[in-house]
This record gives sequence, C-alpha cells and structure tokens, in this order.
Amino acid sequence: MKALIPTALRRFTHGNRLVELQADNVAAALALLTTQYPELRPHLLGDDGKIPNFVNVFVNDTNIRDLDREATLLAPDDELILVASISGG
Amino acid sequence: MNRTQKLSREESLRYSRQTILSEVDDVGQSKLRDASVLIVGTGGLGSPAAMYLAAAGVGRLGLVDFDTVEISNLHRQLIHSTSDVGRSKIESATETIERINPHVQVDPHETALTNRNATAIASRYDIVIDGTDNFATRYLVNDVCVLLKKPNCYGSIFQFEGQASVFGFGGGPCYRCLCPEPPTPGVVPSCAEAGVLGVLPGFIGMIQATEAIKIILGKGESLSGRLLLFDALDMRFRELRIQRDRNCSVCGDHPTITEPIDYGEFCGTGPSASKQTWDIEPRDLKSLMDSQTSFTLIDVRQPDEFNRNNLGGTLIPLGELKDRVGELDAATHIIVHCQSGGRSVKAVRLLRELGFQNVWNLRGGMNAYDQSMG
Repeated sequence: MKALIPTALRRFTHGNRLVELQADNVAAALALLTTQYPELRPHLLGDDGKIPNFVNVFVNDTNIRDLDREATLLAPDDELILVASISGG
Repeated sequence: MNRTQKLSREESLRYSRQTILSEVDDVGQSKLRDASVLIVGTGGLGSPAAMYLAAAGVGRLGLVDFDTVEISNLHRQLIHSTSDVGRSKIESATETIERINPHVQVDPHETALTNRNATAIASRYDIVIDGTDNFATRYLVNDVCVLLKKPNCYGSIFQFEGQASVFGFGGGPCYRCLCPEPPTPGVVPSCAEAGVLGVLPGFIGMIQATEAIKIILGKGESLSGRLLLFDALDMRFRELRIQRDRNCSVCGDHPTITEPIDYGEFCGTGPSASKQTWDIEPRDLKSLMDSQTSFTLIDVRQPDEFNRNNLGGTLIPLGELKDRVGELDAATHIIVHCQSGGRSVKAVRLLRELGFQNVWNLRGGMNAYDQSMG
C-alpha cells in the first residue's frame, strides 16, 4: 500500500510525497513509516503511541476514526492519506 | 436591501453572463444581492473570496482585519496593490471592492476577531468565510459559526497544499469534528516561516467563494461532509469524507462549549497560555548572553528554519534529539528553543526524563525573542 505524505510533513520524509509500505493495518503502517523516517514520529504519534487529535488519517477516502482507528485493516492497493492540520490563510 | 426590488438595468447587464444560467437567473441574482457574507481576514484567502463575491453581486460583505499591507503580502493578496503598502488592509480592500462593484456594501471591521466581539460581528451575516492565518482564530470562527448556526466556508493553505470544506451546514461536521485539538504550538510552521506559493490561496479562496454562492443560491452539492485537498505540485484534487462527531465539544449531541472560550489558552499561543515549570523568558536569555555566562543553547527546529535565521545555538532537530543526546553534557546549563515554544517544550520534557536537571525552555521561542528585542 501507499502512504501519501502531506506537504507539511514532507520535510521529515526527505521530500517524499509517496511512501510504499507493506502493512496489514494502520498501526503497522505508521510504525513502519516512523521507523523509516524517525523525524515523523513526534508529528504522527503521541507519547502514548496513538495518533494525536490534530492529525487525521484516511484509508482511501474514509477517516480511520469512522473505521477501526489504528486497527483498520489495509489491502495492498489501499492508500493511507495523512492529513495534517494547517492554518495558513 | 429591499427583497422585492428588481434588478436595475445596469445590474441586469453587469450580471447577464451569470443570470443566463438557469441555476442563477434573476431570482438567484436577487438572492445574491440580498445576501451578506463575512470574510475573516483579507489576506491570501480573503482576497480572492472577497473580490469574486463582490463581482458576483453579493450585496453586503463584512471584512475583518487589523493588519497593514506589507510588500511581502503582494504576491498572493491581490486585493492589495503596491501603492497600498503601509496602509490599513481594510481601507485597501474596501477600495478594491468598490472599484470592482459599486453595488456592494462593505462593512469594514478594523479589528482582530476575538471571543468578545466575534458573536456580535458574525451574527450580522448569513455566511462566514474563514480566511484566517492561525489556529486560535480558526477555532473561534468555527465555534461562533456553530453557535450562531452560520455556514463556515473553510479554507487553509500551506506551501503548495490547500484544504477546503464547509463546516456547520446541513447537519454536517464542524472544524472541531475534524480537528478536535490544535497542534502543539510551533509544530506547524506558518506561511511566514514555511512559505506559500502565491497562486495557491487563489485556488482555495475561490473554492470558498464558490461554496458561499452555492449556499446563497441553494444550488449544487455543498462541500459539507467532504474535505477537499489540493496539491499544486501534483495538480491533484482529492476528496475525503468527513462526518459530524456526536461527541464533538461544540456541535455534538452534548456540547460542552456553549459560548466562545479563551482560544489563546486553548491553542497554547496566547498571553494567557499556561507558563510551564521550566520556562525562561526572552529577557532571561538575553541577560545570559550579555553576561558571558557559560551555557548551551540548543535549537530544535529543522535545518531549513535554522539556516534562515538562528540565535547561534546548536542545531539538533527535535526528531534527532533522543539519538543525539550523547552530544550533550548533563552537567551544563542548557536552554532549548524552537520557533514559537512548542517543540522546545517537548525537548525539555524529553531531556528531563533522561536525567538532565538543568535544562530550560525559551518560552515563545524565537518569535517571542524577536518580539521582545524589538
């Protein structure tokens, strides 16, 4: 599956917009992603290892809060879309 | 506006390419003329939104801004021109709208939107467009819109990316349903810190204006319940589904927010934001620097931020701190800073957990330091 990195977080993925991952669920995908890019971790996972409230994670077009949250299952052709809070105007 | 008044001949000509659309026609144009929209901020988003709403014939536009035009605004804030640099943004924007369409009434609100004035201001309009540039005002706009039951045409931008939606409309979600809490201060850089492509707010501001026009006309499918992402580098739009959160603190089934709150406190950015135990003030850092006292200054921002300007500290980005902690001497006096005091709080907490006892946070970061030094 593919993880899509928003502009606000790309400086932590060496500018990569798209990261290929092999993971069965969202928690595993985020663990792989933050292992590959450790600087991402404080922006994606709180001290408790959970996704903070200001980050939204979608599988395809659905928010994981409306699915099974971190336990949401992933298929190989799924897209994991990270949406960072931005405030510019 | 007189709701029974027909379009004048001049108005019929002016809007003819729009009224020829069956979705608009003279009835829709009269609805636009009778409508009022509040635009919070006359910056990158507010500029195109206000200009296009004026051109489309929205009868009354409220503009909120307290700032003056700076030359660095001009690449994206097209409601202001080179000759406006140094002028009040409200004056400049009002003049531009009057030039675009003299039929539009402009209500200038030359003030910051606060929890004390927002309800009174927003209550006078049918729809609100959020063109602000900070989280605290975005939560304020959201809460006031929900409490007043006004649609909130939302947009925000960052570098090459934009987001748009309509909140608090038709039973759909509000901004808090999507983002119940703001990021830690300093974690998300502002446009001033990170930059923004000039055309980007044009896209997003016009989407906000389009949604306002559709709501006024009662036509089309609103963005309520959908979050639109725009990536200018990929030239790609994505649409994500978002739902109202029944546990939302302002629009949920049992709301706990029933009036505007202290948004500086909520977002950890205002003067009332809690002082942390290990905070030092900018003047304390300046005194240390001037006194030649030995201490270690750590900058936990990113290299690109450091290269733009720094206080002469050692760069250790927050994400690398744990791995590079061996570079630090726990016996020395350590002061940590970032851009606005958010990341450095995390860094200080981490170092203290690792046994560092003489480590302190520059409260408010470089922003506060620069402001304090004038």
